[in-house]
Amino acid sequence: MADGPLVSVRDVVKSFRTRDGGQFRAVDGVSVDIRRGAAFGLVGESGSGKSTLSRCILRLTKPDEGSICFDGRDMGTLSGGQLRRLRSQIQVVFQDPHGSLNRRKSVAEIIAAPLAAHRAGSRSQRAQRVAELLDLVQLPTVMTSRRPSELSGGQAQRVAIARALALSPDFVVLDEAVSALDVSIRAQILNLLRDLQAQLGLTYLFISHDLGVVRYLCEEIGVMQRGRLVEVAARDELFSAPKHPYTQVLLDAVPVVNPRRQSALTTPGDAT
Amino acid sequence: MTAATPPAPLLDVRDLEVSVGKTPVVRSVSFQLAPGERLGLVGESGSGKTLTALSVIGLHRAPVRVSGGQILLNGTDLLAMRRREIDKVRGARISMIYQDPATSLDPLMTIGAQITEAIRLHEPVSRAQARNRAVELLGDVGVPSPRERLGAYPHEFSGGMRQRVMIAIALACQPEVLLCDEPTTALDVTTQALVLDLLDRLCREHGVASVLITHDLAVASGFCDKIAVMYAGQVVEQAAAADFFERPAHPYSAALLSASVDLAVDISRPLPTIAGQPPVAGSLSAGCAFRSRCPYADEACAAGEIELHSVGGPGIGGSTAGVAEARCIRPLTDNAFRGNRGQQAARLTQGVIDG
Repeated sequence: MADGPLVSVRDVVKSFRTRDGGQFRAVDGVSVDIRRGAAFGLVGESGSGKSTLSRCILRLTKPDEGSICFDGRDMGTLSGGQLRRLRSQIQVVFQDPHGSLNRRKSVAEIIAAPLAAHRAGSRSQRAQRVAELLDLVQLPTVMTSRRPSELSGGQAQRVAIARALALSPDFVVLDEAVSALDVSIRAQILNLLRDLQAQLGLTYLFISHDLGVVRYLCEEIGVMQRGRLVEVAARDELFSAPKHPYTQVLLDAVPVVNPRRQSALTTPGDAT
Repeated sequence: MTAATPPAPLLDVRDLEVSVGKTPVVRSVSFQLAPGERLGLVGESGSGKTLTALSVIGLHRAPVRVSGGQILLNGTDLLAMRRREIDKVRGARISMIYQDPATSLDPLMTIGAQITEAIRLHEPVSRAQARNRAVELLGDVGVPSPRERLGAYPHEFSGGMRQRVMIAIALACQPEVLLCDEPTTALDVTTQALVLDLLDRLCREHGVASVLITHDLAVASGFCDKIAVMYAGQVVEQAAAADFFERPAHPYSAALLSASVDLAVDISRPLPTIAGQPPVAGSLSAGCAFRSRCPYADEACAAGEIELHSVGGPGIGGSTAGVAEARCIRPLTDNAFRGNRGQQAARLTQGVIDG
């Protein structure tokens, strides 16, 4: 199975009932493969279905039709116990770093929570693992006793990432994980996510409305519009020669920091 | 625009100080706005951008108070006005739009009622006249079939349409100054482009001067004539937009620019970042607020208060927005550094990469 895609989505449909009794197809027949070790970017505007698709992949909701295979196994056919074990391999980081951390717990408890839930290791082994994880996300050890309210946005998002990595997953869904952060902090977290991917061989599903950020992090990108995946392409192709008109519309709408910066980049300024 | 005598400022903010209790959180902020001019007030969260705007329009609430300075609108100090007089300025001569139109519109009132309320509060017009104006305004901001939509409630509009309604309300009384606080941050990228185009057209047509508050330098780049960068409650750099994006003077501005991710960013290496955290308001000692994170800082940067002073020559491209100013004793535009910009850029990048 090691050669196949890590995640394989086939003809997935997910509908919601609307208030007037109609059906809204949030995800409308999506098929996509996510390669092992790749960072796959999913872009689209609000309501395009990207978060619903990710919730189907995380099995936080069941697709109405279609199948999702993780590491070659159809998640829809797994028993409760099998699914539970599989969940340790699939983790998620959400947009709002403070909203996704339990305010009453310390950083150490938050990061160790997945270990406890999956009964991994003894108490001292868990403490050891928490220290490793803090180191991995570049937070000082003094942070262990802090509460989320004492953390900045960037620190809180590092804690959320450490928690997601606690069980050494293969696959991490990052749902607008840098969207709420300030410019300078966002750059730090993007660098961290890149380093972690290289260091741990992670596979990412990176969901974002920000095409600049997706371009930086993801080598393969899917564009969603009204529940459908309208284009999937490698980074270079998508940004230099988009095939779908909607992709072009999205690209054209991205504001440019400095119109002259493009040319400045071509002059060598090696920072070594 | 030609570079003759600059027009008298419409809005002149002088040494504004805003405090929370006894702690100053906005410190000696000064800027001028000529009629029709656009200032981008940029910075990260907590830098004091929003508090500055709220003080200008007098919408700050206790424990926040304006503890010093002047806010002159056509020469009249708003801070010296009585409450009743301020009420006549706010919404009529200065108005504001906010980041989240969903919470700044009243969910229980129809759009029509909200627009006509704004008009009738300031102008002696009949209900029917106000309604006609509302229809006109909604059409102007691009809401389709405006007459039918007057009876609709905010929840019946999409995010982008709500922001258009907000803009219609803000422009209802033909203000001279429009304060826009992250007006497109909550919107999708294509909607953002449409709303920015709309603001651009309306400000031009109506000759409205505007302050655009944003954390997104790319948004400011496309919209503003001049840029003021805020850090720790102070303006650390102020320059014409064209100069600023080409040649930032303050190391913080430069770092912020290079940490901004757009479609032109170099993806082959780590993004330059700014190490550390911004200082907490009130915990500041004398000297440059950025010095603990600055790759160029030395003892001189801690010695005393650094004034905003002019750096480099007159703006490039004959801009009328004035000479660049920075609150820095080692501005990157300084001659001593010039000619060595490759090394300088490398130093900045290297120094600020977060370990």
